[in-house]
Amino acid sequence: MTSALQPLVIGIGNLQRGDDGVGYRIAEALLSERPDSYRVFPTHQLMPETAELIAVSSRVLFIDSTIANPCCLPCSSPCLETLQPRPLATSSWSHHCTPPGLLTMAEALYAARPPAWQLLIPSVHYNHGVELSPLTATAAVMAYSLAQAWGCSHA
Amino acid sequence: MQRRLIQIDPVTRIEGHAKISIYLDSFGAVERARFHVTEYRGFEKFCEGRPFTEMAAITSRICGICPVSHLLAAAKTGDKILGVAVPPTAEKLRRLMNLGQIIQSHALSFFHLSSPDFLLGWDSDPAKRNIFGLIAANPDLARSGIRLRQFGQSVIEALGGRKIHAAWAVPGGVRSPMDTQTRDLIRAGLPEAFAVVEQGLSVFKQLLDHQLSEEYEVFGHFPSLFMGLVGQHDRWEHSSGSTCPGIRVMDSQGLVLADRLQENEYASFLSEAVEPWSYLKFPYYKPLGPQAGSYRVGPLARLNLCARIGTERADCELKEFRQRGGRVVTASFFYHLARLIEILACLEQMEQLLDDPELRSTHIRARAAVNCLEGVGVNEAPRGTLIHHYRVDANGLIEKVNLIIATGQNNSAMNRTVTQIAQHYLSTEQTQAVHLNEALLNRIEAGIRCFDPCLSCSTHAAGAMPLHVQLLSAEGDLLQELQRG
Repeated sequence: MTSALQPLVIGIGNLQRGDDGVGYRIAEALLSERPDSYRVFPTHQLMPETAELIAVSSRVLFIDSTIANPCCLPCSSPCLETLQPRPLATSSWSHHCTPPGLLTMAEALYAARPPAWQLLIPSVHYNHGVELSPLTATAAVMAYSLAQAWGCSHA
Repeated sequence: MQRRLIQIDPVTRIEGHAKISIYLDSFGAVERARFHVTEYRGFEKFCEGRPFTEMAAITSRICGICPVSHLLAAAKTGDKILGVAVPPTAEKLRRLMNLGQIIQSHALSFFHLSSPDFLLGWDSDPAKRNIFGLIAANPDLARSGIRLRQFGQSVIEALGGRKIHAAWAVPGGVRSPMDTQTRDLIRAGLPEAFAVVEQGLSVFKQLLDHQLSEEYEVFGHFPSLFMGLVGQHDRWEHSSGSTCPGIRVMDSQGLVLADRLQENEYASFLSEAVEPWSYLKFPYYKPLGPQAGSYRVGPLARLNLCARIGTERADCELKEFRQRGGRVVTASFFYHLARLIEILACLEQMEQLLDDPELRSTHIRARAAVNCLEGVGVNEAPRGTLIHHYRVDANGLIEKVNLIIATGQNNSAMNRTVTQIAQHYLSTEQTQAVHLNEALLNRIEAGIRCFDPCLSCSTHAAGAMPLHVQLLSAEGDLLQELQRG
């Protein structure tokens, strides 16, 4: 099945919480182009079942906003970095999933360990509202091109 | 000897933020325990002034786990304000979504939140007693649980367009009909879902037979009233509407104290007590007062209240359930088993509903202006009976809101459960020990998890959930402290 070998882009965010929605927006924009070489999954939050989607992908890119990541701030550029699963014994979960946690699940439950990256977009606020801050809006344009290139280059 | 206080703050693996205080007498024995809910959001207040048509979308935001329950209760309350009869197709589609909601919520409770306790043991490392620990110990069951929850959510998404906060049910009906493709998609997921719940039932019943008999006796085993919706011919019910005669109240001997109670009259049979140490109210059955009128709602209550479920496989399980626990099961630990049986019932009802040709009609919404200035809607949420009550002005703007939430209705029972477990497991020697025993404290927390409390709903809030345990003297001096997370 060819889809099992495709890269996967996961865009995370709440559209109603300002800059938090940027990952979701980028994923939606990628999806609107109907890419045939990679899959796109916009989501408001990561959930355990997302691990199965990861397990049937060749590579994974998580796109999310960040306020505190020192590799992004104070500049306005998005930051691409590799991700590793967390050792099962040190993982915990109650009500939210993280990208490393999902990679751990994919490996433990489905014996799959696709290479993974995260693209973090610098953000200013997560207040109520649908508008992106100017800094995040600028970074989102760069992030979109990066994500698009990532999807095509790893196809 | 000084009187002392043990606190578990916050309680973990529940939906929201709470703490437990255990009060010791001067001999170091457990005197009483309290389950405090320490968060507050005040939806009832800030909804005032909003159009009633927005209430389904607003109140569904109370919770990310059971938004559908609020969505449906709000829509039903809106039906009353419009003064319309909902088209039969819309009523059935709402029922279908509620079935999906119960499946996904119960699957989360059993497989993700509670089964690590049963399968990894009370003495296991707290850092591993979670879904990742379950993955390591029993990946097949963990995978199945995730898939079952996903199925429930996929039903919600297929009908409402999104898994969480789908603003699909509206006053008068629903926004969109169900097409053939959606019906077939849901139907295709049923065989796997049946297999998973059968697997869960098998695993849990074996545990009950061999390892969990003490928990059955100790985790909130006491008489109380039970309350919930009951369907026609005494069948199990999860939704008000044309097939539901009303609310039933039963005692632990099986005596029906009141039947066919109508939600519009809820103030005549329910009242809410308030305690200064918790934001969570204490509803009770008014005719019997706050103590004797304490009642339980949710899966255990629903199975006790009905004579039968009305579907073949779930009725077989109900029969076995009663063989284990009696005609009226009073052991709160059986909430877990009741949840699995309800998942099975939901799947069977879903299967029947999907065969109904009326489900595909496009007549799904009755439209009207404001015809009544007050409305009460009721629905069975996964955790129990949920009541919304709105009063509006002539323009449909909200003047008053009252939300009676399942977790609040189980508040007295949760406090009794915590006390019973603490009194059983915390001996005088243990309460005076230099280090508190994690396993014993976890049992106390697990007593609360029997009820799968949703504090986000009941106080209308959310919070982080590390564990904080404090042992304090009567004077308030900190004697011991445990912290994790």
